[in-house]
Amino acid sequence: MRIFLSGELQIDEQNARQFVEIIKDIKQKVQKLLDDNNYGDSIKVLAIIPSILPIKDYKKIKWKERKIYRPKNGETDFRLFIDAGEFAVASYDEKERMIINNVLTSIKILTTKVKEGFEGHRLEKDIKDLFGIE
Amino acid sequence: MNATSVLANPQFLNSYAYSLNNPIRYIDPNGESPLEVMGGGIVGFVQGAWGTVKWGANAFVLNPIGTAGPTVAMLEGTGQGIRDFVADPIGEGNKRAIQIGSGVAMAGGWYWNASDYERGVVLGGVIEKIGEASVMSKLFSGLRGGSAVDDVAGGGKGIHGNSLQYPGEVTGYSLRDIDTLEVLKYGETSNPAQRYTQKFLDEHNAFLYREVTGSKVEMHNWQHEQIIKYKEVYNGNRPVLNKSDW
Repeated sequence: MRIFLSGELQIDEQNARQFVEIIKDIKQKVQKLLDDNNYGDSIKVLAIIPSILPIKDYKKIKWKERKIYRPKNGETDFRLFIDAGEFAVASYDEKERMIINNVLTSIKILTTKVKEGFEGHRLEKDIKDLFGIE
Repeated sequence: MNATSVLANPQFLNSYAYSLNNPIRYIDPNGESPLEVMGGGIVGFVQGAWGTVKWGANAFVLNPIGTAGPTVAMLEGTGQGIRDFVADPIGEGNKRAIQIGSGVAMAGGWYWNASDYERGVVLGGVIEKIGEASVMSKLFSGLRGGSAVDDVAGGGKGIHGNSLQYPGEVTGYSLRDIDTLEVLKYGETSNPAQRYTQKFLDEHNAFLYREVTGSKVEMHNWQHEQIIKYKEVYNGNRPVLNKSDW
């Protein structure tokens, strides 16, 4: 299984840079977890793309959260929201926590969608342990 | 009444039918000889174009929002068809004749022998066909590249999102490499709900950065300026996913 972390951002440049720094770090650590453990063969690409934009604009620009699992090719496309205002005022650690929570929520939803061949609960727990989340 | 008229319209044999069983077209004050109504051309025109009127009414009742764009497009297309015909009757006439196919036969002596009503029916049919052709063309163009949502979002004026006259808010964005933050593309979109696929982002290791919003013209110029600035820094090269300076 391979993890792909990206983003859809509407935040200032400094916060965008921090976001990218954080997802690179998360991606590297989670990928090692995926390489060292077998969580099933249903998911080939675990694509998670947090959408960070002002919550008041969500409806205005018709953006919707995306929670897609494509069984045919084993790919996912999760785009859950993080409020840009909250992200902007958060510390670096809090930002990291917001993105990890976004990843964990995506995996939790994915676990309900995949009938077999994906040990989502174990992956969720291992990621929490990895980042010291209760 | 004579044998020819009976053969032409057997309703002449029906003693109980009023005005050849077509009260919209005829009146028959003395009950013996049906006369075409005054303004038969107008009546015929409405009958000829009735399919369009009926289609619009039905579709609007069933799906008022979804019909708004195509309906406006149809009306606009019909108007444009007439304007085109006036501007270039030969070229446009040929074009429309091909579109309409065998539906209308305006040639030869028929036109001069036809009644106002019959001419009206044909003219109404022509307008209907032009409208249909225009709607189909608009719908297919929407499926090919643009989006029906864009048309509706254009203030209901049928202005496509790619037009500089587009009245809605437009977003200027960049696609950037996740590892290097290098700009891969500058773009602008009138459809804020439009997104790059997960596959595309993955293939290019990219994230989407919504940088600025404004009018269509402002964003069009913004995109151009960003590409030119990029070229100044990178020896005349554009961002790899931009195929032109605009």
